[in-house]
Amino acid sequence: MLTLASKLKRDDGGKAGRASGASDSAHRISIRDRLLTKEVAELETNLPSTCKASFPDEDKLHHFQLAVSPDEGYYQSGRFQFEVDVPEAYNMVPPKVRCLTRIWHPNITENGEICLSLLREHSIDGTGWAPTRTLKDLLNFDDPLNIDAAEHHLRDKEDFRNKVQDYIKHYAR
Amino acid sequence: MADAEEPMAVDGGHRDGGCDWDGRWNHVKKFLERPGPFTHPDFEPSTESLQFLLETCKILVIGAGGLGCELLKNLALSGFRLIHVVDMDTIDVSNLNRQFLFRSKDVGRPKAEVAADFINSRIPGCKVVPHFKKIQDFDDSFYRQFHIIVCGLDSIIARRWMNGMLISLLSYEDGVLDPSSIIPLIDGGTEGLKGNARVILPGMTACIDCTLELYPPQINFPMCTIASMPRLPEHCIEYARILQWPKEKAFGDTSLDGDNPEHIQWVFERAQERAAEFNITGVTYRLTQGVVKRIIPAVASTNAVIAAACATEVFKIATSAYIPLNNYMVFNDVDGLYTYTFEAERKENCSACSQVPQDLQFSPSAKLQEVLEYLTENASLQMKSPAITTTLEGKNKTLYLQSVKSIEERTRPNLCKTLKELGLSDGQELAVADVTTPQTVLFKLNFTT
Repeated sequence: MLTLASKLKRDDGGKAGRASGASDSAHRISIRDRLLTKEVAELETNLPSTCKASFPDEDKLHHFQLAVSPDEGYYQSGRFQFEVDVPEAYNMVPPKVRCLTRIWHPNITENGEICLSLLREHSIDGTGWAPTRTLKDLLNFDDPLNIDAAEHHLRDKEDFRNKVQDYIKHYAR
Repeated sequence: MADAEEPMAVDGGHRDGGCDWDGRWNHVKKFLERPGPFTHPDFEPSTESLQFLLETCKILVIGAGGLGCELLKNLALSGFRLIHVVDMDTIDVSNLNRQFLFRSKDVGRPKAEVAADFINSRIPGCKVVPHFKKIQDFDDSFYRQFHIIVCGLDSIIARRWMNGMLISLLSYEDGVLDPSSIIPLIDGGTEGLKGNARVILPGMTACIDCTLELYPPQINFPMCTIASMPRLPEHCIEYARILQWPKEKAFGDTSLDGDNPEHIQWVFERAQERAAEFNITGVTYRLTQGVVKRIIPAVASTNAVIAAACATEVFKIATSAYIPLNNYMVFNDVDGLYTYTFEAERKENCSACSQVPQDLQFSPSAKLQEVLEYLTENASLQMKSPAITTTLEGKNKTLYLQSVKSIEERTRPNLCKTLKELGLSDGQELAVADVTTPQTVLFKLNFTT
């Protein structure tokens, strides 16, 4: 088989190529876009009732916002806005997720950076990002990044709950 | 040893290809002009193979670094003369211990250009054409001209892109792959004392994406670890580099320069202090420099081994004289010497190569609505509510997506537009996803008049 391929090539000596239409890289669908077509189409069926997705630009499937309104736990009655950005190199690299609403949470800084092993490319314990994961896996969620919040929760649960509610009243309504 | 009467290649080598001195290619002729115990069963000795190498065979080498320099040397000395090399980098002083086509005076110059100059001057008749560009700067018409492509890349993303490009060049007639549209891809990779070489025949054997899970995760230190729970000396160095340098501005507003010993010394000292705080050992000046400059330790001998394996495969495939590697070789000399070869298998649902785009025949004046109806009504497709996207000018365009309300509203007007109005052209690739398909299905638009 291989020899045949070489022999045929040999005769043409670097032919100009067949007219197979618009297959230059400007028109080739990238792996990211191909995956997103499916993952976004499935998005609403995978979202729990507490989440709503919105796309500012219908052509930019790699950039959208998620509004999460938990109906149980410490963060009940708050409405938190997350921003998801899927980089070009997906799915070798994980999506980038940020919290736009100010929140008192052990895994989320006051600037909105999220500490979640699933979002990291390299993780020693195997819970990190892998090409076998999809956007669907991101939607299910729980290294403390905001140390003060983590320590607070350990120290005094009641007081932690109060501070969470306080933040919700101020920022998440 | 060499006969005193035979001119040496280093002597003024300004002969053109037509003046090969006597015996110049004897070493290659030994493989191609006589039978042997390891030749391909269909092999017939002849003088044609050598002529093909010298005059016609066009090879593309991607990367002019550790592997690239070795590859260029090996190919040029084996008789390949029409070689193109692509590399987007410039030469750094840390390259000089093994990228032997470069010298101190070349630091700062494009690798591809210096490499081409060196080979062209040293090996008479060889015509290496350099390209100081990214692989993504070229389109299919560039890649189509080559018989074989060899990669010595340093990133998985680049490998996947190249893989995708060659798969897109494949043409099918009535569902059967046309062998003359296959461009073999020989891929080599090294890291320290480990390396691998593989032969990929796009559309026929396992591609890069088929074996994506074999790649180890890339090292990237998370900010939370750096900020609060360092464990490794690298974390301490990154802390000094990312957090302390911009904050303390010990050198004013200048950005950190990995080649400035004073800067490295400063980072080194801060990193040591932090390491002492957390009882971490291992912070050295050398490690500091390595982390700041993102240097992954490279070993010349590993590059030599892997490049040799790759160049051998190029030779075998170009001449059809020997059975090529089938198809993945690993090499490891961390402790003793270990090498193993296996046949990587194609992945059934590989996102890059498992799908042959299906033909969709429509007139350019057909409306998008008609395409949608075809996808739902056709007996072998029977989709429920397909989402259709495409790529125009390198960017995604969502033609119609029913399952997200906000997007459905905004793309509904597209249904009444003709395919031509939407900017689609003959051969356009469409990505379709539906609840009936486990993954996105690709279609190719075939315009009828």
